[in-house]
Amino acid sequence: MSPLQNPSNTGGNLNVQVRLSPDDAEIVKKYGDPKVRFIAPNNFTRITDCDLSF
Amino acid sequence: MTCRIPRWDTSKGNSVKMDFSINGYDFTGAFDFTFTEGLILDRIVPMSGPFSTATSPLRLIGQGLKPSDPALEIDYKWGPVQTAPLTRTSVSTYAYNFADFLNIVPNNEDLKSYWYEADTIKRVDEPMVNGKNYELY
Repeated sequence: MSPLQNPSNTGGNLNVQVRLSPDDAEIVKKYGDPKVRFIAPNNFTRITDCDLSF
Repeated sequence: MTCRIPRWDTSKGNSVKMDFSINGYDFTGAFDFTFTEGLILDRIVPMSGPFSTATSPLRLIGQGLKPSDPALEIDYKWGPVQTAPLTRTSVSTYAYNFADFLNIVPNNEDLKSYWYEADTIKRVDEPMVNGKNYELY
């Protein structure tokens, strides 16, 4: 898994690469609900949705 | 995956941990992640210069600019800019009052100083010559 871009606090998109086995990839295609979570040191948390592409 | 980055309140801290989940419930990762301030360029001073040389200091006024050590070198070049004619209605969005103009960069005194100096220092019109250094005010 690797973030590819320098993120900005004003929003935008972040590309994330996750390496999956072929079997897992099929499961993720059907049932996946990808999300990313950001947690500050004081536990302030934001969760956002992601789009999948294979 | 292409993930939406949330607008992040920098008062919560820029350095965060980032987790991801492929099922929406089980998160893993705890990667170190640093939010950077969005770069917004409000104004450059001066706004024009010699076409063939770019030796004069250029001041960038904006947000998200941070000093670097060693100093970051940025090259710039003056040149003609092709612009399309604006309609009267589109220009109206640029209307502002003087107070708003001076506070275009919040808590920044540079623009106020520039305006004060530009308004009080005696202006001397002088044709710009290639290769000559000009002092900025």
